[in-house]
Amino acid sequence: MFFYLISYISIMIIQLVLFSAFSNISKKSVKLNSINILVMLLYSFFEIFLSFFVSVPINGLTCFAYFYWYLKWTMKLDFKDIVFYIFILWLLGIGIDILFMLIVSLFNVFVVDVSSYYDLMKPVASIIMAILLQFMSKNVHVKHIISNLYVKFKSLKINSFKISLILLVYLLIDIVCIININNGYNFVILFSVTILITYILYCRYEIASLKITNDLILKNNKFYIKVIDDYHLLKHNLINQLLGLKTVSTKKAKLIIDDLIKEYNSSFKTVKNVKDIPDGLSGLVFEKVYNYINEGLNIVVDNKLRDNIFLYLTPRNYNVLCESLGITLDNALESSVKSDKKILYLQFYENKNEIIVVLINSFAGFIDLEKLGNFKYTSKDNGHGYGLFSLFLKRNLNIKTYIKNDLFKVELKIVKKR
Amino acid sequence: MIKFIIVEDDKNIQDIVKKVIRKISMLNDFEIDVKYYTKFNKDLKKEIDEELYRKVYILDIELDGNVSGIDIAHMIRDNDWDSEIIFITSHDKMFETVHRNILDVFDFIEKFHDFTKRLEDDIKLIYNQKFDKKMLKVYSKNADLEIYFKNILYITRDKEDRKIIIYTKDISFKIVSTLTDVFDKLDDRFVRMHRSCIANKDHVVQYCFNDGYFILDNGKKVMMLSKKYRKEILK
Repeated sequence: MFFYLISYISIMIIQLVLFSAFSNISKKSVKLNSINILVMLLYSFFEIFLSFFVSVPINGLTCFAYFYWYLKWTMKLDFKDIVFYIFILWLLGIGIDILFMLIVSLFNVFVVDVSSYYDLMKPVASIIMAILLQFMSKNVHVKHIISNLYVKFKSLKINSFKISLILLVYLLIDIVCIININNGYNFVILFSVTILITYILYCRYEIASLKITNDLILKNNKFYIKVIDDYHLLKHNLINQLLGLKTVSTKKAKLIIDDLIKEYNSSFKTVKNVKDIPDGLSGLVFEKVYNYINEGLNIVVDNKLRDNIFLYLTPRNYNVLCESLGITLDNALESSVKSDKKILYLQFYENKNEIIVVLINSFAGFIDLEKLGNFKYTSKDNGHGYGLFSLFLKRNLNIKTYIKNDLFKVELKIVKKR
Repeated sequence: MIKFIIVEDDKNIQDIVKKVIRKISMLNDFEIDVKYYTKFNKDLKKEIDEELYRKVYILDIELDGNVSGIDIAHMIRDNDWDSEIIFITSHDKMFETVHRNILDVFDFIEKFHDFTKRLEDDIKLIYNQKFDKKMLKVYSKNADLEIYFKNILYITRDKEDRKIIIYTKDISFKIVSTLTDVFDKLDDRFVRMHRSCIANKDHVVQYCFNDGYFILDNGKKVMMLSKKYRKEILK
């Protein structure tokens, strides 16, 4: 009875301390009321029941499920945020656990053997570790490290499904390890099989996800081309109607109509040319060019690729091509618009082993040839100088830059899939 | 000698071009050689690769086969920026503007609008310009630079870095070099104006030695003129 009481009290204290530590590291406050405390009391009973009366150690699963639900209920936090902070607490807990066990081991060896008091020591040790965790969570340096990690975590493109999958694997491994704690051989086999299964599941999920994305991209491309054709027709009819209006207009009105025709003609031609870009890149290029559609750019596209770009490249190289084309096109458009000639030329062709994309744009201003492509060097007013620098570092991409008089040429070469 | 290479699948246009070239060459007394092709083939490729003579290419854009006039122009410009290219075309203005610049095309002439007169004027101009295609070439780790001598206005020494700055009409380039090294690569039209400045005489309209400046044809005043170099400048 005494052990149950001690265990009960320790679980209550650990809950309070853990929620407090969570609140410290996440910078979100926990409001305690009678209902919250009642839930904690009930959970403590449940944990006692599991630990003493259920032979399979599923504490990890139940503990995580409870904490997640409780934090979601009281703090209204996002799934990813809760998982991140619980993971941090778990890491801190492991560190404290290891340290504590070392101290206890040394104590056992050099002072007094406390292993016979294990049942009493276990809840007391848990309370001490929870309090140490609380102190650590208040430490300014620890909080600073956690904030930085949080920022990096948030920038990862990882969705809730993937996080859940990883969590599930961890919890299963936890149970497997506890069951097989005394059998090293079984433990290693089970651990390896679990990791392998997870990896296969993850790969299948990624492939399925990419297929959905690619199908959507192809569908959007077809839609864009249809929109361009409709736009083409609309502008053509509009220009003809304006010419008709001109015949019955006053002198002032004729000037306004001429201006309108000139403006519509320039963007009309820009849109028409972009249509020739190969499937798989047309959406990206059109989105970039669209911002400059009324700037009077002279854009010519020369496409010698017969099929859509997916058929030439592996998914990885396709991503590299999109990224590099996006960066170089941004630079090309911004420079071209500022020049008098406003020229942009895009060429797509292939040789035996590579897909080659050539961008040529007119430019004006100042260039330091030695610094071109260096980290943080930019010739743009609001640039940061990372774009070209990052492309020069890419392993799957062969990039060359040339300047001829007032034209800047970039050549991107990517290896075709075999 | 000037070599004319005509790539045109329309026999009538070919005959017109032949007559114009013969007429201009006789009037101006220069030696010519004319070759005709109706489409891209191995012989044309050999002509493109051959580097002995100065060439003028007169190309139709739409040709029989897979290779267009534009493709032929790209092949020419892979190694040869000295030759002149004239396109016979009926494309829109945007197409002309872009290709005129990226391929350094001399002219686009429409087939059915003043064709003969335009071609005559162009060939006369080409002959009189004497193929001024000399270039300053600079190679660096991340980018290669080529500028026509005729486009360079002036060059100065950079005060902060050990570099020089080349000024053209709209762009200035900073490169790693000395004024002496770059001066050796240039031709007679470039003169030393100042210890830290070289200028292209073809673009200078006025010299003021007393006040230490010269004025360029774009109106820009450059305060780098030294009396020390007066004799050489006015030679």
